Amino acid sequence: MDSVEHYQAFFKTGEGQLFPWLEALRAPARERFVAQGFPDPLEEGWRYTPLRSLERVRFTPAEAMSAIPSEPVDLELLKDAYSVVFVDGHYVATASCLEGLPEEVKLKPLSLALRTPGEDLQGLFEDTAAAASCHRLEDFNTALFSDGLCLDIQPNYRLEKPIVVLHLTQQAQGLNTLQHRLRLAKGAEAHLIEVFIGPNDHPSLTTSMTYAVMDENASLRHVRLQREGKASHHFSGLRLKLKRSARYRGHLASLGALWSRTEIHAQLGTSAECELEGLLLASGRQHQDVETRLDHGGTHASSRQNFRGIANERGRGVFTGRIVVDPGAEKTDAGMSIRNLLLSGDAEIDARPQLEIHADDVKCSHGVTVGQLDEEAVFTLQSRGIGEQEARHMLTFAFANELIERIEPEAARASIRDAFKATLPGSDFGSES
Amino acid sequence: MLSIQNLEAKADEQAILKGISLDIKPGEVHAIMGPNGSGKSTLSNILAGREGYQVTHGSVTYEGKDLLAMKPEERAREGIFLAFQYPVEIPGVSNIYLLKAALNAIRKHHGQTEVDAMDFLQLVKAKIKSLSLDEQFLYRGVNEGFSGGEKKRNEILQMAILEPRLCILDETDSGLDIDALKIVADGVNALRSPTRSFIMVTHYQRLLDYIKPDVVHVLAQGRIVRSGGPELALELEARGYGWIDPSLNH
Repeated sequence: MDSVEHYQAFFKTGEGQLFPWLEALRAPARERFVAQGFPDPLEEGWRYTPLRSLERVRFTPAEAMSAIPSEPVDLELLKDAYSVVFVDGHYVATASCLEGLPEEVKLKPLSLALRTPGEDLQGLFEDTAAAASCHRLEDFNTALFSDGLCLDIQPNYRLEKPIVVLHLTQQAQGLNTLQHRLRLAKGAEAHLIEVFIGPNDHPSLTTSMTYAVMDENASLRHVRLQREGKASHHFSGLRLKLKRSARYRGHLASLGALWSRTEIHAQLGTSAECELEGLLLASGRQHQDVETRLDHGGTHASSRQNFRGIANERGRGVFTGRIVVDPGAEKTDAGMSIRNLLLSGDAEIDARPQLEIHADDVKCSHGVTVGQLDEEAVFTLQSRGIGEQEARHMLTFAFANELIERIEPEAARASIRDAFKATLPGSDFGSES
Repeated sequence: MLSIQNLEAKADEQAILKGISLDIKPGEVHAIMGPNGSGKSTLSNILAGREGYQVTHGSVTYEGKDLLAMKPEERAREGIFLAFQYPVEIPGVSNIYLLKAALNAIRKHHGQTEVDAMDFLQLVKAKIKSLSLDEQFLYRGVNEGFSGGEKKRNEILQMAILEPRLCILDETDSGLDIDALKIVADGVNALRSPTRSFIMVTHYQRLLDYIKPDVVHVLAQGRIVRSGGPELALELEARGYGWIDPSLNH
């Protein structure tokens, strides 16, 4: 049995009678995935990210929710936040906290929303839908997702407390597939924090797609921390639609998993603002891939991208950043910076900025650097009494910390800082002053 | 405290130090003067343990130990401090973090506990004030965006906090205006004690107006060609290096 046949057995079918709109979403995705399978390494977007290791294992979705995880869950992060916890692809009500939500905010797991009469899920799915599926991993996710977050915020409502979404994978060879849908009405504001945690001792596969539409002047701050287990595979995608003057600010820290790919695609309307920052760390034999695509469709929109990659041992990093400026999108202001640090001779990072500009009066810039630690700085620290290894860790951390420092809220920043320090091999350099 | 015997060293296969001998006792201030290319900075760097030099002959003994066998961090923990000629910028590592990490590394080496956070902050604040540095400097990246004078003062700040026993100042006066020079000199003078020694490497006599040396050595073409009291520096200033080494008269 090939891998496609294996997954076919788990396709979600039989929803058609109750939810024809959901079936209408799943059916074409199923068909495309069956016909085409997983992306081929010969395809341009996947040349640097082979899926062989992912295809070798037959992952299986968990039938039902398993016990509450014993994994250390970041409790600081869950304090003073609404939280939605998914374990092996299933919502765990007892671990989540949705108490005290104002009526302007609808926040529910899909599994619950489907059973709630009067929910306009079809509208939410249609509004947030991306223009088209980009590839078969997205189709794979659509064919299989077992749950997800549905968030709908009324006009001009500012949700102060952050929403934390925890994705936990526990089951051996588990397949954890979720799809989130967010709609922020005109002037609405929210703060979303997504955390992915997986087991270290056996492989697992998490795929998670987040679709968001942001109406005029809406604002979303989004933090994503990927610290899956050492044998895990991780694929997550974000598809954003930013309407007039909407603002998105995203921070990504991709630290875990053996194989990881994160995609961020955004469509920017007139005067929309999109800011993406990301940090990735590839140690051992880790593969970290980040792909962004920003479509500037309206005039006066601005985007800033600031990514840093660190590869150690035999780690591998891939950045593909594409900026497309549509005809007529005058006064576009787009900037992209990709800085990389190689800590060993066997490490590799490929950075591929791509600009496609179809308008005249635009400002687009991009810069890529790949370098090593500054040996002068290492010596300076040594000459002050700090051991060489510690000096190297300190400088590596400093490189990452320039991005980490900008993360809000403080709890998310601390969580990412701790996760980074814990992931950096052999690091033990005390606490931050 | 420090004894250098017949030290010869190469960099990139080129002989730079050609037999240097020097003895420094506790509490002494030695000035090493010399024209460009005489080997002054090489000597400083070899003492601090910078890579890129091959010692081909001779020995350096620091408090009875073979200094050349020690790693740079071990030398620092044992009390050697090099104030850099060109301090590097280290973005992302704040000044205060470096100071604390360095001080704790040295304390740990001597079997002491980590410094108390409040005590440390008080100590640092007192020192930066005496060096006319703004408190905000503590929270900026090490030397990041600092002016030349600020970088040099920052070196002295580190020295004041770490309290080394042998301070090597490599062209600390270069690039300083007269006001900054005074501040730096005051900082150094405040650290003078009967147990702490200094090596001041400099091209000009100017620094020695503010920090009085006990001994002045003139280095030329990798050798100490003359040693004397502070009056030697004044004579050099008046007559030029060509007075010592005729090959420098072009």
